[in-house]
Formats: sequence, structure tokens, C-alpha cells
Amino acid sequence: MTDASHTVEELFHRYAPVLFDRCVRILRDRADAEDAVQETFVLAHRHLGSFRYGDSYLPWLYRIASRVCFKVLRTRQRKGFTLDGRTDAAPAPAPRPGEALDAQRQLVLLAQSVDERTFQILVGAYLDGMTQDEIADHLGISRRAVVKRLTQFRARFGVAKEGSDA
Amino acid sequence: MPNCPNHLRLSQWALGEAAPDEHRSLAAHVQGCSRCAAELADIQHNLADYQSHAAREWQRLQARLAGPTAPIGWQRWRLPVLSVASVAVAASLAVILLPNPTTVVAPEVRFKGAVSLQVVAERGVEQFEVKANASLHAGDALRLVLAAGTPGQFGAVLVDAMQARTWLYPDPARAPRAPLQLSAAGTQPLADSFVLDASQGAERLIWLFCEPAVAGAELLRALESDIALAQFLQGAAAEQCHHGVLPFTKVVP
Repeated sequence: MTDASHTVEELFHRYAPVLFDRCVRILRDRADAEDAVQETFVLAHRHLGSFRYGDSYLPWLYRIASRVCFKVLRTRQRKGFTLDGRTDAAPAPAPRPGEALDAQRQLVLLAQSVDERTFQILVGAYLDGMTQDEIADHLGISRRAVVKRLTQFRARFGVAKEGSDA
Repeated sequence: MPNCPNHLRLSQWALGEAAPDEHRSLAAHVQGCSRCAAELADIQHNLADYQSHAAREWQRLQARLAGPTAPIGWQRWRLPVLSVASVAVAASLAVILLPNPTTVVAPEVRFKGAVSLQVVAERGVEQFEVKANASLHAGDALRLVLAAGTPGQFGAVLVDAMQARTWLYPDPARAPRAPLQLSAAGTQPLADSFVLDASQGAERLIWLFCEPAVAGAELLRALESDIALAQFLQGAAAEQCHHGVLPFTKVVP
């Protein structure tokens, strides 16, 4: 086992359970969440040398897990799966302008409608309860970029600001 | 709930990673906030659930990591790492930009150093490397992975069949307008993905990477037209830059 693998083992035993929680929140499917955790650590193993976030690995792993979940949701959309696991003849439609935001359900639908960066911002804002500054810090982007993407998202889908009743 | 901790902070606290003063403030908050108490209970339930079979999941992961390429069912996305093989593959994507955009250019390499751009497309569940003269579909999502031996700055544009340019980097909506800054050498998956629109025909992705000494404005000007790039490449600054063109055809399936 390489040194990196040793570190992955340590990271896995410390953080896999909390990443499972993270993936369950986004995917709402425990089996998919287990697969997403696996994929998160495969990617972490590949990039361990170049991605380190200070003293805590958790924010970095959180970001990887979010990206993995985004791809799972997109795949689920294309296969026409609904939230309760049934298979539809056609993929679920994109949210309509003005449609109220039920954060978790809409994130599934929105994974097909927005790019990955916007998706991560939406997860931070609507699912994780992060402030715009926290999102910017977590994703390593400017607050201005966060505000721009959220504004574009709200304008496109007629969604209320995060934290308000929608 | 403006004063509620976000989910990441709650998770860190649940893991015992909060600083002592933060630990005290979070504990006080959760005691008085039913919403956060419920969220914390959810976290702890999921932690316990996973820990009950974590050993099995670790064995499964070990098998994945030990495999040659670890193919997996729904997730085949692979972020490349810098290696001789990946640089060689990426280099095959780069072609010399000629001033005349109608000239057909065979894939060719003209690198002055270890700088390469890999373009990966996502179509449905499929991910694949975009090679020169590939046929892409409207709706395909493109991602760029830059491998550079030095820090530097980067710009990229898509040029469609009508010679209209769409900036990929820098984001045209972001001010001040400046090339993407890469503070460290290495292989870096760039953050954004770009979904191809429904127009059809021959397109090119043109990119330019320059070392920090080159003025960012000069880099951006070079990407504004084929003539500007040709002129730039004849100047002294080009000695500190690398560029490539990836031609492809876009179709509506």
C-alpha cells in the first residue's frame, strides 16, 4: 500500500460516515449514497497530493462528494428515475419558473438544468444553510461569483432567496 | 435562521473537529434550537448507520483502489492526474493554430514545455476525451483539465462556424476582466463545465497559457481574433506562452 493509500485509509475511517450523511442529504437514497462515498474516496486517492485544505480534509472531501452527487443526480435524471425510485417513461421535467423551491426535490431536478458550479452553490445556499461568504470560502471563489450565480438562478426559475419561505 | 451553523460546521462538530470556543457556542446554540437539534440528530443517525458496516465498505474501496483502472457502473468520470501518459494523450489534442481558420490542420504538437490541455466531454453517463476533429453533440458538457509545469494565467474561447467567439475563461460576466490565474504548477481540473448550444458546424476551442510575467491584457487581446493571436505568436511574449487549438464538429443528434 502506498503512503497515499495509508492516508486514504485514515481519511476513510474518519470521514466516510459524515460523507455518507452528506450524500444521503443530496441523493435521498442510501444505496446511491454508499456508492457516492466510494467514488469520493477513489477521487480523493487520485488527487491527494494536490488538494489539501489546511488542517481539515472535510471541506475538500465535501466538495468532491458534492461533485459526485451532482453526476449521480444527472444520471438518475437521464434514466428517468423519480425521487422514490420508480422509473418514468420520460425524465422529470425541469422546474418551471415560479415553481416553489423544495430544496432537496428541486436539487434533483436542477442537476439537469444548471452547471456543476451553480449546483454546488445551490447546495450550499439551500441545503447546507451556508451564507454567501461561507459558500465563497468553501468553494474557493469570490462572493461576487456566488451572488451572480444565485441571482441568475433566482431570475431563471423565479425562486425566492435562500432562507426565506419559498 | 441566520445564526444557525451550516451543515458542514455541524458535521465538523459531530466529528469533534470544532475548536473549543466554537464547540461551546455550537453546543449552546443546538440546545436552544430545535431545527439544529433535529439536523444534528439526523447526522448522528447517518453516522451510526454507516459505521455499522464501515468495515465492509472499506474492503470494497480497497478492491477498487487495487484494481487497474477501477471501472465502475454509473460513475466513469475520471479526473486525470499528471503523468507521462496523460500528458502524451493531452498533447495529441493540441494543434498549431494557423492564422487562416479555414486551413485544415492535422493534430500536431508544439509545446515548449510541460503545458497541455485535456478536454473531457460528458454525454449522458458517458465521459470521453475529446480528440481533434471529434464529433460532439449539442448538450454535451465540456470540462478542461490543464497540466502546467509552472504557475501562470489561462484563457480559452470557443469559435463557432460563423467565427463568433464565446469566452470560456475568463468568465465574460466577471469583473475585472482578467485571465484565470493559476498559482501553482500541476494538473488542475478547471472549475466550470460548458454545455454546447444547439448551433451546428465546425468549431474550435482555442486556448492560451502564459507565464505570470506576460501581461494579462495582452493574453486576452490575443484571443480576440485569429489575426491577433497570429501577431501575438510572432512577438517576444510568445516565448513564455503555450497555446493550442482543438477543432471539432458540432451536430444535433
